[in-house]
Amino acid sequence: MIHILAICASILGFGCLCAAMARHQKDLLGRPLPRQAQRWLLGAGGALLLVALATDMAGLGAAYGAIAWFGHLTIGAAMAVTGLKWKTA
Amino acid sequence: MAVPPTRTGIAQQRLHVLARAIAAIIGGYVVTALAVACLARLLPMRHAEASIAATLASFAIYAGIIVAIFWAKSMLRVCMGLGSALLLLGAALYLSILTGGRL
Amino acid sequence: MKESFRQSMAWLHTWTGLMFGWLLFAMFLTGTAAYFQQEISRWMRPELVANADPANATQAAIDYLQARQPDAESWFITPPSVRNPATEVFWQPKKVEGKPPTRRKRGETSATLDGGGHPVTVRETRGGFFLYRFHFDLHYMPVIWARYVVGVAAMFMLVAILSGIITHKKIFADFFMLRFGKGQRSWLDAHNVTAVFALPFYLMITYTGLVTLATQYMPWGVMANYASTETFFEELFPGRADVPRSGVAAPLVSVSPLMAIASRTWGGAGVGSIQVTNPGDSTATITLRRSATTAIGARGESIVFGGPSGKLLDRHAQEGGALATQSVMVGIHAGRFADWGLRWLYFLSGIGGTIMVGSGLVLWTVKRRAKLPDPMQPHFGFRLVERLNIAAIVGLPAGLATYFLANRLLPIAMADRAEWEINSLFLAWAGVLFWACVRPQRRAWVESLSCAAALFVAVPIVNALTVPRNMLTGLMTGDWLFVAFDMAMVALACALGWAARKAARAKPKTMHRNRPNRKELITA
Repeated sequence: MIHILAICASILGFGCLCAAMARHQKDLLGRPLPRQAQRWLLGAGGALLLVALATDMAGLGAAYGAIAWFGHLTIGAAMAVTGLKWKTA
Repeated sequence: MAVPPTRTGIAQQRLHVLARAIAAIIGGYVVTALAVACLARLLPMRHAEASIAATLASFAIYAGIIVAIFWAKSMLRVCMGLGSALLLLGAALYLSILTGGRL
Repeated sequence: MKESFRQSMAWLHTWTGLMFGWLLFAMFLTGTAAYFQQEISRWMRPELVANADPANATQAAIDYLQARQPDAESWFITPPSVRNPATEVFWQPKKVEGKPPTRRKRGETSATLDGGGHPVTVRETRGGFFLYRFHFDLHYMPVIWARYVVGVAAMFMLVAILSGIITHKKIFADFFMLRFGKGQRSWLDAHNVTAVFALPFYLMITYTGLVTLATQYMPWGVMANYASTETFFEELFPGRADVPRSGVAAPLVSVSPLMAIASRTWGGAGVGSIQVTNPGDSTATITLRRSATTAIGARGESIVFGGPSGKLLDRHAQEGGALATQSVMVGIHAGRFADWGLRWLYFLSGIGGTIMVGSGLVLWTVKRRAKLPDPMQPHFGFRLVERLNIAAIVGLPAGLATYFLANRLLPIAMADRAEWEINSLFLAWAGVLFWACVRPQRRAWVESLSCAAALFVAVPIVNALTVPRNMLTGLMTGDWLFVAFDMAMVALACALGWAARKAARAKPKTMHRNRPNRKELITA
């Protein structure tokens, strides 16, 4: 359960980070975003990744949680790219 | 490492690369070994602890030296750097063992 | 200046990667599989079903050893656990004066017991343990040399990672970039994406891997302080000196209360192994070691009791920051502490690493082929790399499938059966190499990938025909191991088959571009 929660947070986080990048906005949102919105997305993405870390550490303990977090980040990033490919395909 | 497209240029570049590789792999290892040995003697911990701590750091030191050797502007600098590190670390280790001895 | 630095790093990355890429691919693949070594071993010994209580099983094992090996130097017992249903015992036979200890074959000094202490007859196999050992000991060569080779490869990997990071200047800008169907660009994307996503894992696994054998690769830190390594290990792990038998017979106390005490001392953690020295003598001791599944550090605590008295004699806990760091580094590499969730994360990251190495290898040829004077007539060195890529990337998966098939198909009573299972792995691997050499390279990719896919499909079928446990019975009786294993085999077969199809359908325009898609590497 902790794993699923953390992976979801990490997917959302990478989704935000991806949407914050000008080169992916057309694929992801269909239009470019203003600078202000980009900055917000960047912040939200980073915060969500930290939420994933907090979830892991709360659920699995600090040490195990930190190890699991790296794994969850990997899965989250991979899913985000898969999602991006899905949209553009 | 600019790449002149001539044949002799390529041969010369390969020679340069070979020299760097040898310096990095062998020279780098020797310097790492000496640095690890010095660290093991000089770290302010129990002997066994210091030995382990130095060994744990060794691969980072080695990797750093390898990258630095390929980074260096000229082979002359590489040789000078390796040479002075060898002398310095070697002397420190020699003196340390001479005065302190081993277990 | 800055650009030339990057150039030199790119050069370093390309060639360190190629030099050891094939070996690293095999190490990544077998290391990844080894995260499930116990499960693979269980699948390869389908006769084992017992799932006994650890304390009772340990007592039963002690009774077994008491009856058969009363005067051994010491007994070692691994009680059953969640991941391994059997009790494994081995013993060190009594030394004969003036006779050097002879090398014995496995099986002469070990046994596999069920919960009641009765030996179980299982097929002779090295199971998942072989994959674990191959990861750093390789095979058909002296272990000590293999470990040096593996260490050099790991060091090259570390340098390749560092130089790769420096070379790839747009590491964050390209973070989400994955473009399909663009030839070289796609391969580069695949390599970058798999590299960047699990970068912390690769750095960690490479560095901690080197640390596991650090005293072999870098003995200088120890030699600087100690004239002999024995003094070092004695200071580090103050063991109890060998006590000779007194000759006074004394029975051992019952072991389960001791296990309970140990478990309480460790905050509820289970006992991983038990060692009894001088059994049956008044000098006997019983050493319990903490199970590796309960803490990250690989070097668990131990607790020593007097054999006849059951009195607590000694406790070893970890001390010292550097020692603890090393223990955690080794533990985090082997992942023995990991529960199912973490284990799968390790496994997926390992697969990512395998794809990263594989796509890097293919990228090497794809990049160079375009620059060749005549792409249809490459020179010898290029052709060699191309063929070795096929053999390395497809050969080992095909070998693994063959290893599993051999486990089911070789006669149970065959002499040296376990060794022949391993031989068949390498025969299949050599077969793929041979095929890659004699066929046109693109056909070779398609054919060897299809063949590997077929081998993986064959595993569940052959399993269903030869042993009573399979996916269907597993679903009905809750034998999830057999369900998961069969599904994994089918998934691997699908991935390989998909890759073969991709390779076959690659447009003639991209013909000189090694087309088998990166997905075939997933199979690895």
